[in-house]
Amino acid sequence: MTRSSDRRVEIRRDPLLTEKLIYSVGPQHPSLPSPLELRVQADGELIERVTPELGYMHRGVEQLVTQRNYGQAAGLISRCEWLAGSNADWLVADAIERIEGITVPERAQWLRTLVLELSRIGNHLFWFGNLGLEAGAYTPIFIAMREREMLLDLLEMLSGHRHHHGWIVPGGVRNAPPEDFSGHVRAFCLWFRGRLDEYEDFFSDNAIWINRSELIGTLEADYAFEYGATGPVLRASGIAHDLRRDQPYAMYGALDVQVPTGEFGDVLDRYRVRFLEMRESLRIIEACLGNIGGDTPLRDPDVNPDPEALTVSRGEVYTAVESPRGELGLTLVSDGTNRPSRMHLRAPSLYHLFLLDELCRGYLLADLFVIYGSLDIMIGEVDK
Amino acid sequence: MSLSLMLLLQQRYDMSEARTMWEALRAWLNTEPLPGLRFSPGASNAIMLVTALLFIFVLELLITIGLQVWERRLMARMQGRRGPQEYGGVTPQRFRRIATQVGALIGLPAVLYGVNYWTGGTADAKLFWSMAILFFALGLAGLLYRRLLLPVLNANPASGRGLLSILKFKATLFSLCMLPCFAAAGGLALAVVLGYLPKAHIPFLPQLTVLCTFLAFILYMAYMIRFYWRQGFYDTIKIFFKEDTVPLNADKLLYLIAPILVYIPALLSWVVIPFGVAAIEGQIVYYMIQDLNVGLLLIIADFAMFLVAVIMSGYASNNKYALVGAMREAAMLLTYEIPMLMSLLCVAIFAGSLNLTEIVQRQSMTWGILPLFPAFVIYLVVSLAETNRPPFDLPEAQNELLGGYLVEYSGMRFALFYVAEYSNVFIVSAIMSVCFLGGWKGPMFLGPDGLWLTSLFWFLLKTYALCFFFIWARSTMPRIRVDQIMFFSWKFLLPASVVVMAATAVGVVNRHPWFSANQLAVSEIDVTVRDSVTQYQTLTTAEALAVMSVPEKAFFWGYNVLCLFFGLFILVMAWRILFAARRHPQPRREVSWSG
Repeated sequence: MTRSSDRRVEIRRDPLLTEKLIYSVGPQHPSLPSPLELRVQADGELIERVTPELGYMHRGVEQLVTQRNYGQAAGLISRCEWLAGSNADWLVADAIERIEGITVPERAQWLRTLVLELSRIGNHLFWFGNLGLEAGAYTPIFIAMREREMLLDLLEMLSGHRHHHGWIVPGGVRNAPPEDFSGHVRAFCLWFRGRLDEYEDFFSDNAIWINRSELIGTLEADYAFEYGATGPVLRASGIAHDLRRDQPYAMYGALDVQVPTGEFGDVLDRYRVRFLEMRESLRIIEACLGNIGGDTPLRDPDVNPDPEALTVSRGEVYTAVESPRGELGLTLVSDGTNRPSRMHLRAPSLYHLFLLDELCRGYLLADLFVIYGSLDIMIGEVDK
Repeated sequence: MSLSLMLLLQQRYDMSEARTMWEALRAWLNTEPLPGLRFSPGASNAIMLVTALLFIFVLELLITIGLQVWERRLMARMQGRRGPQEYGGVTPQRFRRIATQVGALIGLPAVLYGVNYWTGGTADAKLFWSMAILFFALGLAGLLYRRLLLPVLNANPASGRGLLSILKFKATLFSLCMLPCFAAAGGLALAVVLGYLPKAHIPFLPQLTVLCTFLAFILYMAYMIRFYWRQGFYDTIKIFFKEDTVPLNADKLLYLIAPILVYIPALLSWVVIPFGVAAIEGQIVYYMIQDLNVGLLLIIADFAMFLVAVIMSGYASNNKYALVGAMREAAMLLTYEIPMLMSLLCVAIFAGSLNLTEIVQRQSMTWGILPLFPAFVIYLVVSLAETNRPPFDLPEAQNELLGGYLVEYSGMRFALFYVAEYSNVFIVSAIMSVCFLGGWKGPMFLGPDGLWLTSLFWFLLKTYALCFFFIWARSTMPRIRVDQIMFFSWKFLLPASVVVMAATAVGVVNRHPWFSANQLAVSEIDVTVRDSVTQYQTLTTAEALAVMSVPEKAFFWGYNVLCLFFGLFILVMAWRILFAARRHPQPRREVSWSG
């Protein structure tokens, strides 16, 4: 795929003296669900430059967690990525387990895998609805939220919370699932397969949508690699990189994870890859369901269950999870107290946000929002 | 259905003595309306002007609010969620009750007509009359009981004993009275097919029909206002109390008059739309203000003016988003006006007139959609763009331009834009039903006396079916990009509309009966003016085929077979989209799996 064959409009030099328009998109804009400002320099509607202006949501999480214990730190970090908060819980738990050399019971590992995949589907559903809105379709957000509601009900049934579950704790998981949990999850999988077909019927083959997304915002593999893109954005560009397969954590090593990749790295490929990922997540969830039964312990008895009193010995560790948006990494430095002494979050959205300028240049203003939606950027991660 | 039955169902009425409501009002004012009361010409003109303005204004406001509320409810239904006023307000029981009452009141006269038809009008008229009184009294008693007495009884805790308890028990009895009403509603369908002409004279039957329909209408309106339109009225009242703001450094004059200029053409178009027709004392009266000879032209001009006012508002707002919205509007105006004109020109060729009532009357035998189906499709697409409705809502694009040219407006001026937009949706649908779907034409199942009702019924049915299409498109499609919209129009719609117009002209020349609405031109030599005078002869398709020459026949069959294939193609595509779309496990593009 060469650069000349995509649908970029060639920027011409206008002999008339004209001024460039600078749109200030955001921080309050219906297409940007979180506060972010995009300075868009355009010739009419033709985009020449996009500059993201950050800082509208900066909370200083990396500093705040050094003043709090590990339980509170996990809660704060999951506030950076609220659509799939269990990933942050897993990161903190895994970092502590690595430093202390704790082994997690296998049943708990299966349950963690299950919850991570449920979160992935929930996040992708939100992304689908939002992308529909950015393309100007009003229905996807409603039909996606309908299924997401069922999914949040499942997670609430398991952990008592809908968004920030705090259910994955160092040494295992917080509590055993209720008795009828697997039955409910199985019913959800059955229902959701049919719903995915419905989405595809409704949206994927729509001629207008194909025209809006095909060869729009193309990202070549080398560019994606250089910009540090991960997750679906990287896979859509043709690089089959998935931490679940290449660097297995939890129980993914025991599962045969299939990695869908795209060809052109355009909006349509990112869309397709995420849809295939949802189907793959369903398959993983069904595989997990067979292994979560029994009444073996769910938590290592050596770990102090009181988060206030949990101390971690001196050490430094980097751990990463394949979050719905890409590689979400955590560097944790501990000094032997009950508080982390230094923390850094590697947020995939940050890397994807700085791709925006490269992807949007030469396209029209309407494409900016579709490209932005296809990258699935969460400002909570970017402005930590 | 045989052709003769089709023709019978589409009754034609003598139009030589026709006039509009406006003219009827003038005639009435010129006579002595009340004993001793006479109006000077100026006074009667003023009265007529005020009446017409009030009529248009109230009608437009009601239809606009109704359409907007309907859209919100319908989109909620399509998206699998609940809409406004759907949380507990309307229970199935309540809906069933109102449906029973309305159905009963409408179905009663229909059953009488139907029975009358089956007995061939030989039975004693007194029997029908007494039946009518019985049914009506029972239905009315049940209605009054349920609406007035039962709530009092239910509110009274002592009603479980004594005389009141008997009355409460009677509730079952009165409910049984409602049963014939269900049968009556079924009889309506029967009467549509069979009873469109009563064969015996039943005294007071027309009056009874009118009374029943009026009551049903009142009931229905009460229901709609209480459970359906209330939110719309609240919104309308609320928005009139909002602050009217003018942005800094705006072009104040243009900014302030733009909403008015948007609103006025939306009002003007209502003058020429024929809603229906009534036979009053042997005379045909159209439901419209003015039967203009250039009605179609007026409506086209109104739309052009609407677009200019939109551009004006976008320019005057001193806002980048509004400016971009206005520029998109300008691009769309240049792009979509031409195919729209071309497809309406096909109608003008087909009907031989720009007069909207004339266009409707021409479609007694052949509806415009039959020969002009491609033009209809083109106009359907273009009308979405004309009214700025999704998927062509680029100028106001909520998610990109925050409302585009609307972004700075607030309060009443904002409301004027919205009223104009929804009013345009109705007008465009009305134009489509007038030009392509035969306007008020349809089986006149209530006979000449009920013409005022049936014509209105058919017109509103067709128009609202097209409005449904607008709402359906909004809840289904993503938005098209501005360059794609222009490519689509310049490269596809414009050539297609030119071809369709040429085909229409060729069809008229080749005396294909459908292209000239089954009214074929016959040239005759008129001795008084010593010149050939074109006269029109109404022929059915079979009769026309008999008088056509061989090349004309060849064109007829060739064109029709071509159309048949086109129609089959459309049907197959629709089938595949609607029913066979479940089978697509294969992605459109190869996605490789590795791992």
